[in-house]
Amino acid sequence: MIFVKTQLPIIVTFVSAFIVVASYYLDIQAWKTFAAELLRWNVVLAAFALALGIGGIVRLHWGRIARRERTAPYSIICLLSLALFLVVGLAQTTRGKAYQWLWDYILLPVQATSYATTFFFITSAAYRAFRIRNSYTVVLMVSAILMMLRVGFFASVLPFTPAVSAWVWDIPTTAGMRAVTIGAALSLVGNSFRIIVGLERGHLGGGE
Amino acid sequence: MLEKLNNLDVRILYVLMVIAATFPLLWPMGLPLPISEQVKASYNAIETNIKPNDLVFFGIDFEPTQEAELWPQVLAVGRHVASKGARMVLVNMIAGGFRYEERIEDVLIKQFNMKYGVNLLSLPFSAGREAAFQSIVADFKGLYKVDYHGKTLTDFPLWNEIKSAKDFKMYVQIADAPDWWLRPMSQVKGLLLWNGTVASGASTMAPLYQSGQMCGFIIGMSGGAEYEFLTKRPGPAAAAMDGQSMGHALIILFVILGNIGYQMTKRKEAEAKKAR
Repeated sequence: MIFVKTQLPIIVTFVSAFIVVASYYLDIQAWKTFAAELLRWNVVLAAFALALGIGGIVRLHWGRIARRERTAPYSIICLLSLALFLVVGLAQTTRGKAYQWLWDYILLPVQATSYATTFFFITSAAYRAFRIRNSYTVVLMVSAILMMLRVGFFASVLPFTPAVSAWVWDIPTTAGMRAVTIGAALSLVGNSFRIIVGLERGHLGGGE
Repeated sequence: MLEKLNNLDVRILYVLMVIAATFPLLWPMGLPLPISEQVKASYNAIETNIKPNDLVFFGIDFEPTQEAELWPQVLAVGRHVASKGARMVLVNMIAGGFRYEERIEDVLIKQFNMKYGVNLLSLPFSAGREAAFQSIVADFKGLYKVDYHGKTLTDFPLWNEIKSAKDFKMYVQIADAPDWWLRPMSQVKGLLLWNGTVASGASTMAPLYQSGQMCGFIIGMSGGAEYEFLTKRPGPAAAAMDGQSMGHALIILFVILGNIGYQMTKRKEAEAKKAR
């Protein structure tokens, strides 16, 4: 049982990763074909993971309803919506009129509205956070204002702003993001290597 | 009096923001909109590189949450690519993208007389994100068997003309910022990469444009609005830009007022301390 739960997944991970990574370095057509096939399996597995996600949502919200938690009414709405979209989607596919109606008149307005509320949070946060308390907040406030002045009407009436904000964007912002991206990529490589050779076992349900 | 500005009731702020953003939508003000160099360069990347009959991947990867920022980009850039006479293959790797794929397909067929299956194809959602893109690179024809409408792909002449991802000239990706499409797609030799994204995630993609990995890069609603003006078809983004400018003006005003209130409060507290 331990072999199936821990050693077998490590062996499968190692062999699959080796085949895919090696396909970049080996010019053997059969090898490349098999690596491409493995990538297609990955797409199929990702589709199954979506189904697994549905199971996770049902389990989470069903538990809340069963325990009659304060948020249980929202969980009921969530599960009913899930069932509605699932049933209509399976019956008609995403191209069906009823599914598209649900999408256009329920999902789209709900998602757009929830995203639009960030407009108020950002306004409130900007009003409270951009107070000149120290040199850092000055930098934060000036950068934010320059970014707002970068586009639209202000860029035309304040001709210096596009150039100044472009400098802020192109030099310090992009340099910072580049450092973050390179750091994240290096850690991704390191972590992937640890998973491939079986040093990192968190995804198997246990510790390292 | 001025100290009150330090702690305004946020509800006042919200009401003023709603007015500032909706007023120009109801009564357009026609504020000037300068075109940035970046948007011009991105427009020119399509204008100069895409020739009639070139194959262009058109990726639509966003959910309805980003519709306000990204749908205008899809419309403006999609129309531009179609106007160049390119053959377009629509793809989506985010479950919510299918509805926009349908919409742009409709626009391209009605406004540009594109013939479905001859110079336009819509591919269905594929799960796996980066793995799915990697699969496109490794074996594009093996990944898809049917189109978005559930029809067998080998029935379409356009599909039969394509051998692999290498046949494509450009990959235009309108997405909510992630770079998981870029890593695989940049492996396709000779494929030009072009990206439109949301304002909040633009900093992730900016270094990739700056380094030359992408030939085009437009950001958020303003990028979409500027692109609409360049293609001489002002649309939803241009209409919303007055609202965005007014909203920004109000935020800046409140930041200034908040700081005046904060400094006055601080001064008053210091004086009170001194007096004690």
